[in-house]
Amino acid sequence: VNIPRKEKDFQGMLEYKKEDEQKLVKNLILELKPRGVAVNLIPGLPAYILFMCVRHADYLNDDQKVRSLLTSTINSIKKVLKKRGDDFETVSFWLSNTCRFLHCLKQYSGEEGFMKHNTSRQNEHCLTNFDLAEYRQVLSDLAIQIYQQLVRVLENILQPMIVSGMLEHETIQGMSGVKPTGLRKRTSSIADEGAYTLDSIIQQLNSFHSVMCQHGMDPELIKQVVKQMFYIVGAVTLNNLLLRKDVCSWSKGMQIRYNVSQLEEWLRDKNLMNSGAKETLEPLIQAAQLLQVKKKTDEDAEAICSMCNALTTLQIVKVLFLYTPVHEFEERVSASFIRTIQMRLRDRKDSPQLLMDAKHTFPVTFPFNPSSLALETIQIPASLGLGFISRV
Amino acid sequence: MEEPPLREEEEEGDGDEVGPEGALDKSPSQLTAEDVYDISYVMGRELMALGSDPRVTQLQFKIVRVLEMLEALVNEGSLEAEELRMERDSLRKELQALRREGPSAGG
Repeated sequence: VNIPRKEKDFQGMLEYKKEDEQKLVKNLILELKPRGVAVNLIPGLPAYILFMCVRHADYLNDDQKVRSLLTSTINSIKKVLKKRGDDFETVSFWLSNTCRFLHCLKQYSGEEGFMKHNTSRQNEHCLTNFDLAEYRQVLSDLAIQIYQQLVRVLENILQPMIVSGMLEHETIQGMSGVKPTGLRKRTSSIADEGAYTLDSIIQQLNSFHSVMCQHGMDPELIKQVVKQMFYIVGAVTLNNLLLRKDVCSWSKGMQIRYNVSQLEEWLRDKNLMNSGAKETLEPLIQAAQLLQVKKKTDEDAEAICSMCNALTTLQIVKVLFLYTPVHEFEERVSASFIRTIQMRLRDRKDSPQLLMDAKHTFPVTFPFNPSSLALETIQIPASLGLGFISRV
Repeated sequence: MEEPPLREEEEEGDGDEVGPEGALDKSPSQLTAEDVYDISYVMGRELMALGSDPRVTQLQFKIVRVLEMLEALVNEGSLEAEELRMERDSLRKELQALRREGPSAGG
């Protein structure tokens, strides 16, 4: 029964009975769906609720309860990720919430360095009894682990799209020398039923991005994920270019430059031009340019050597070697031209690397991102099934 | 070097993806739980933009409740309709079977 009462002054803590701890993590972590009314309206809600439970245990000066709750929290998150770790939505959700929980533990740690952006009310909410720095370290390691899992999941989804969408599918009509006859001649979107196109890749990027935004993931973290996705696209495309004769032609160079420009457009659209994502495409861009420039005179050789600073000598030589003219105005690259290039690049101290490491993961960081949310105003939505905890 | 031609923007419209905002344009009877979640996200973003005034937060949690109710109605509504539809179809079949039997049994 809801008796209307004056809004009580809550202190932004949540109390539960010790014997309810398992029920708490079950409803709040193990069985919580990453998509729902409450978590969508208030991204990070599970993290805030968990932190408010920690606050009350701290307030009671109950180290046993604090330790037990933090341990159950960490173990439950691990359990969810073990069970549904191949689901992008689940992994993104728990990455966002683990980070938010970590931010809360910092923001309300009582350490001055983390209190700069706090309101005075928020400062009153700092933990008073326990220093949880060690737990923050454990959580930060957990977040790194979850991030790596997220990268693996998105890699598995993107991987099968890349070669088809970036190299094989023709975005520009009638460009390749191979005449599109008969069946293949229809317009791009209908022609390759089942085969991935550049648009499939862009749609996939959109869906990843929108899921992360909905989970309230830190903007700085989203940037790192996007940079990692672009690196994967660039590396897999370039590696295939370096292995296949049939994609080393002037028109493929055109195709790749066009596709890259669309990816850049996507970054601009999402306001991610400063994420470092574009830069990861540089080797691919240069390889595409290499396919298009003139490859005859000494001046051409010089231009190539100064242009291709993001490619290794081996990669440059390989592209020139594989280069296959498809149009009448193109010519095969002469052996002497390749030798000239090799001579010019002899003093360059670069790695003897041909293929890029498509599995490389950039190290991730989680910059502190305090929130303006006022803990004392947080209520517990009924759909979370946490009726057994109470506001304090 | 030539500039690549512009891509025709034709994919728009056959869209499965209208974005979360699209859910608000739907007819109520077509609404799914997913749409309700999309609406939650859109409204949450707009509420957050208003800042952390306690009155905003209070409103926010009332909206959570309203959306929880909407979610329940959407889910139960479609479930109930589905049950009734099955019930109706089986009655119809039964009726047809009886009609077919009727005359042959009589004559």
